[in-house]
Amino acid sequence: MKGTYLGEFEEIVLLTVGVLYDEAYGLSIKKEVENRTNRSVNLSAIHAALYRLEEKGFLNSRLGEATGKRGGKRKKYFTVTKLGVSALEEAKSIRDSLWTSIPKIALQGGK
Amino acid sequence: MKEDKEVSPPLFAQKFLSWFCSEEFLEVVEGDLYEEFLDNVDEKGLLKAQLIYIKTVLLSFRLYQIKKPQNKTFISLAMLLNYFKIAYRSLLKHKSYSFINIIGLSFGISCFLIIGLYIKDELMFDKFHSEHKNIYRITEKQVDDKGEKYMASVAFQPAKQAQEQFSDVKEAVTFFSYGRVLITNPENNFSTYVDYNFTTANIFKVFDFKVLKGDKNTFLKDPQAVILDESTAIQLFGSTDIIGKSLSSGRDENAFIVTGVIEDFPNNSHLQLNILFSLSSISEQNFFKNVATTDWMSNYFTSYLLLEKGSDYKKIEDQLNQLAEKNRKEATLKRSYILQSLDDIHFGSAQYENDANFNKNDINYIYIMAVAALLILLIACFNYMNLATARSVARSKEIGIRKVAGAFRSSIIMQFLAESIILTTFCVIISLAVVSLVLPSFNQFTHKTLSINPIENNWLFPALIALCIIVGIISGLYPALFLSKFQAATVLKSAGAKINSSMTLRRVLVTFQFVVSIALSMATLVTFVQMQYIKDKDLGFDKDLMLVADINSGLVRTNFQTLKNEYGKVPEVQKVSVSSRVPGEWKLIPKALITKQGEPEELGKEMYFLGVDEDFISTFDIKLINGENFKGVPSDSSYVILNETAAQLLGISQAENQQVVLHHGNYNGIIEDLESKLNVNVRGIVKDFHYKSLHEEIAPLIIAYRNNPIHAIDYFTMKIDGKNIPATLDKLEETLHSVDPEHIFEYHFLDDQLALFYENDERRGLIFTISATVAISIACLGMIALVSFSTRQKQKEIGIRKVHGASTLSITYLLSKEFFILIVTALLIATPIAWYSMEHWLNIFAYHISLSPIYILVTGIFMLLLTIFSVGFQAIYAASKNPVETLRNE
Repeated sequence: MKGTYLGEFEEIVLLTVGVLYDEAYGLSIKKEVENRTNRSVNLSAIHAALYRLEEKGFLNSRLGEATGKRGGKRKKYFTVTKLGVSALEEAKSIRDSLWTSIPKIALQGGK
Repeated sequence: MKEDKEVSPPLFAQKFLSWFCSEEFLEVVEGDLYEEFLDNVDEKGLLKAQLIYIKTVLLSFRLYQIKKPQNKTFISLAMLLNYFKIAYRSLLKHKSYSFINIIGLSFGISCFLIIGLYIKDELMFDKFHSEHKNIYRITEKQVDDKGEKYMASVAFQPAKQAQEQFSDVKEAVTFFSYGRVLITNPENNFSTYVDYNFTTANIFKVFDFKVLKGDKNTFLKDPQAVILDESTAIQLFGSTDIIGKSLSSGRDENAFIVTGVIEDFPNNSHLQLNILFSLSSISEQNFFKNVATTDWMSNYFTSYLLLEKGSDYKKIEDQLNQLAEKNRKEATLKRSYILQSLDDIHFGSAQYENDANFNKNDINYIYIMAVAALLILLIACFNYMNLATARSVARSKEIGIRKVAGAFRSSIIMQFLAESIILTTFCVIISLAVVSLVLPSFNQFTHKTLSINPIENNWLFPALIALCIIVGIISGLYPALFLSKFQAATVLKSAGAKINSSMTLRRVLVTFQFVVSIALSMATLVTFVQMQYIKDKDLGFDKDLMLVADINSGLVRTNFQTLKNEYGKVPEVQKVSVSSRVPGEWKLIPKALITKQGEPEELGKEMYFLGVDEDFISTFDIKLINGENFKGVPSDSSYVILNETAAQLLGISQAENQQVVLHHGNYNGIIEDLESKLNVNVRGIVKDFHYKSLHEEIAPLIIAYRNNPIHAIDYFTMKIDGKNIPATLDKLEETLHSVDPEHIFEYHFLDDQLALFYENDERRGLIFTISATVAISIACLGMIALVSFSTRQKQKEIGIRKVHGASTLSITYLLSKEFFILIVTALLIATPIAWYSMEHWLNIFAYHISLSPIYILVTGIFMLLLTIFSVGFQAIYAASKNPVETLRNE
């Protein structure tokens, strides 16, 4: 895979997977993202992001049990890997360092 | 949550998802989608939930999820070889079908290739100049109360000033054509007539004509410099190594020095010149200075501007018009300049007069040809589809066995597609042979240099491969889908699969083929009749065996009477006349402003003007309907003869006692006042004759005596007898040289010259004829094959019917009825299409035939006869077979 760069949407999905911990699968992630970010997301976008994150090694997955609610299809649960956690941490530290470097005056809003 | 069975996502979306989505993701995606769908049904209602489902499925169509092609369904080398083998075997096994298929497709592809090459070449017209996008021709729109007209040439100043004043104009090239001139190589006295064409030195900064010898930046700078094209150089000097040699011209005492040799102008250039003289040779001469230095009015100069890349040509057009406004004096004629892009010159110049535009064309013909080419290709594909599906019974066993042996449907589809692509490739190869055979004569006819040489045309090879694949898929896809649908059990169990389902489609395809063929043949018929009409139309004058000899020297012009008498003494010459212009004229005919005596000049009308002698009317066999001819005496100069239209326009019905006044001459936009107004009497009125092409209506015409102040004589016209034309020509040339030994005998036959008016029409006619012939042949071949197939299928039925007492006639009827119905349907559909488009086409001729049902009738009968030939005989043959033969082998 090319690089371990974390896109904005990917980061949100990865964080959400962490939030949901043991209950993170496609649809639940979608709902959580929608609730938390207040934006509507298409399920296919979640699937694509999950796929990319797994390819990059940030996510692990396992197949769950089949339930009637899903027409007999199994769920795929995701958990964040160590690599995923360090990617998140790195992203956060970059942001933090950026935050701390902004002069106070700039944060008062442009006048 | 509902467990209701009716609540389910749209089936097609589910199917689509499971079709494209790879196994790896399918289950999870389907599960998530279904769960979301159920939630949405509760929250948002069924419809919305379904829409969201569809949207999500469509958005899920992403690369990572799409099924990876599986090896077993794709072609492996072994299977590909097998397909080749099977294709080869099945071609051999069904020889007649294969033959028809190959012939039909090859015909169609050849036709498509030729028309395609033609169209491509047409579209590439003038595009070989690297700056073609930034080159504009200055043209002029002239509006007065009589209407508007467009001139392709303009005055001298616009181009000059544009280059000097506007920063966005990089270069301005001007051509000045000054009639014809005799040029001679003084070393060997070889000479020829060429256009006396003067050009600014910067021509090669704008146009990319290839230079063979000389420095293109400077060779037209100096006065008396001349550059020749290769063929003229060879003709006069026998070589192209001629820089520094001198060349004498019949219209300039000083010799010209050859400073360069260029390649002949390519056939896809609208500019066609053999020789270019430097404009500086004449720009210092008084007559030129007098005209050009203040010239914002004339239409002598063809000018091109090279603009800076990305500059706004409209802005320059405006600036140019503003500048012209300031400098022009005239008020009656409203002139405005239009910058015409070089890319538009070939197709967009229909309205222009005075347009030296080689082979100009109309884009609509290109569209029509493109459609015709595509339709022909399509009906050839349809043939393949028809024959392949008709053959399905024969192949159903093979498919059954393949399926039993474990073939997927996809691999059978691949097999049939491979087969049709292989066949198409074979046909393309045949077509290339056909095209290379036909192309030389096609080129000659169309004045093109089309070639299928892959080195010159590097796009050709990829294009051909694409063609093989596309045609292969178009023709093979339906049969492949249709044949691969067969269930192994059904086809192997029963004697023959039911193939009725494909009958409707086949009928539609056959009908379509015949709609195309009928429309094309109707178009061909109408074109043919119209062209025949043009050839046979009584033009109002005699055009056969009329030899027109140019007067190219002052010596001949002043001694014309001697020469005329000498010409008349040649026994083969029946009549001789001199005139300023001739009917069917290829050069510009001047006009004169005429009024009736006493009328103010403002009410005058400009009419075409001929100066002729007393033998003109009898030589051309023009009918005098009123009054008298010229008598051949000096006083003839105070008379004119009018044509009917002119007389009518002036309100003159009797020649007697009618006086008219000629006010000025108009030479292609240049108005030249007469020394004094010319008061003349009307001597006679002649019946209208078509002195211009039949595309145009007969315009009013003033015929004055040869000795007139407006236009001097320019031609001898001789009516000769047709027995030994070469000998006659020799005698005439001798006669000419007895008066002027320098003069080259330059002549035209009038009928050839008239034919040139319709050259383009003839050319298009030929392309239609080819298209129609190919279309009909393909469609008929297809029909023959289908009939032979269906009669073979119905062998037993026919046998049983005959045993029960059916007559040969009734069985023939039974077998061919269907095809006649199809033909009649096709006729009904094709007729209005052809009618409408042909009516449109005929309107480009001011004189044309009128469409009548007879054309439909003829086409209809022709098609029915064809059907009888291709269907009837086979049907009769099948119907007259002894039933024992067909029923015995049960």
